Amino acid sequence: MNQQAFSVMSDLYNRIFVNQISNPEILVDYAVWNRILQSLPKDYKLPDEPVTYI
Amino acid sequence: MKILLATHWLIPHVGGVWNFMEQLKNRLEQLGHEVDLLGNSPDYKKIHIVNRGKELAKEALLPMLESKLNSQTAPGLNQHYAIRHYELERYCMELAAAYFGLQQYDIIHTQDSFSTRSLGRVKPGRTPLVSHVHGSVAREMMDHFRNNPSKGVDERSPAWRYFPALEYHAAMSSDLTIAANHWSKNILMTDCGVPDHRITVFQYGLDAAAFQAKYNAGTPLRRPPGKKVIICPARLVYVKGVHVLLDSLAVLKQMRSDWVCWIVGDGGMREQLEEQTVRASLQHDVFFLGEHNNVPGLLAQADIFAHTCIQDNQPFSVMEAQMAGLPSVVSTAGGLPEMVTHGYTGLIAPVGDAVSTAKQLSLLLEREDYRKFLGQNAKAFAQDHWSMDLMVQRTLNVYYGAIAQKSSV
Repeated sequence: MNQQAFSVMSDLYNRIFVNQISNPEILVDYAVWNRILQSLPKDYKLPDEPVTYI
Repeated sequence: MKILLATHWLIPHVGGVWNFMEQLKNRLEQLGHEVDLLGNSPDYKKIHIVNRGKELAKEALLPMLESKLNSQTAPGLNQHYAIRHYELERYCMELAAAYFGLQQYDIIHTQDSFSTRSLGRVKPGRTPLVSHVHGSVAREMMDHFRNNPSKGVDERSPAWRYFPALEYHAAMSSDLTIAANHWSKNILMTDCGVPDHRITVFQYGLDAAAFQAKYNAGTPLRRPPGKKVIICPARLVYVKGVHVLLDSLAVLKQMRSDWVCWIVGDGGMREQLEEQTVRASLQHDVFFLGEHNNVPGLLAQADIFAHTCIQDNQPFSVMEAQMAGLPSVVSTAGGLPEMVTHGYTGLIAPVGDAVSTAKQLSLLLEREDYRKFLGQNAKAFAQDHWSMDLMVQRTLNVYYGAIAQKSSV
């Protein structure tokens, strides 16, 4: 990863998780995750529940 | 068209799926299409579009996923380490695909259930998704769990149910699934519950011109005088059943000595197989040639092709042997009986039946006329059946059909 990356708290992207928890200690690259969030379908969620609830 | 070929597996890689993707890319580009290749990097640390130099390190994704998908927030995913492993890998592909952007593609063509389900979840709704199955992950994993009871996974376990569930949801995420044979299709239907109408079947193709060039180039290796060559090009892993072939060669040695066997390929079982060879006193009859850059050239020196696999889909090795005009001695595993017609292009023995295989090899060593009859039939069959042009045309027809279907919605 780029050493100069601008890091933000991962909690900023909690909306993609079905069950949300706060992990203030986990930082992520703002540019990478913003670009990902812009492309994901609006209803995208993690985990993939139909596959994992078996 | 702008086409994305994608896989969960490593690219580039020594193996069938990568060869298939490369060959398809080349043919599609010759026809004027633009093709990108998405997959895992060879060290598994990145997802990349290998021909574009685009990549995203999993390090940018995994710490967050691992923290937020714990046993409280994601109990389903955390039922077994195998489920957690494959799901986290899949989510990396989903997020990386979103990062690269999928809007530019007219069609996405995935090469396994993992990438199919992943890209099905993140692609634009209007983009058609066609999936290809090159074997059965569900069946391989079930066999793996059965053969390794110490893993503690049986029919009631979540890890057992995960792989068929994944294959089902993958097939339902794509517009159409292509299987190379009816064996694969039947597994998808019976083990995974995929409806019949969502699967089409057509065989792989072989680049005949490239094959012929290598065949004609030959190899410095020469058969020993007075001996026939039995050849087995295969990765040295359990499912390829080379251990069964060695058992059958031990029986064959009791029957006759006018043969040698060339085993072409490498893999995790090499040492074990070499030990088996010594234990059976076959070290002067069986030769491990390792990876070889000209298998067609070796086939030109051989007399009989053998593939006693435990499970296989539609191996290129059989297609190449038939193209070389060799009779095949194969097992009943997987899609092999759809490739070889017993008594017409080769001989087929039950999986794991070393004695029957030995008898068939002996028959072909004994009867030159029969051996040549089977080989000639195999060559005539191969030239027609394994046509690359036919496969590419059928693939394009599937693409156009999926695009038309999406446009009409």
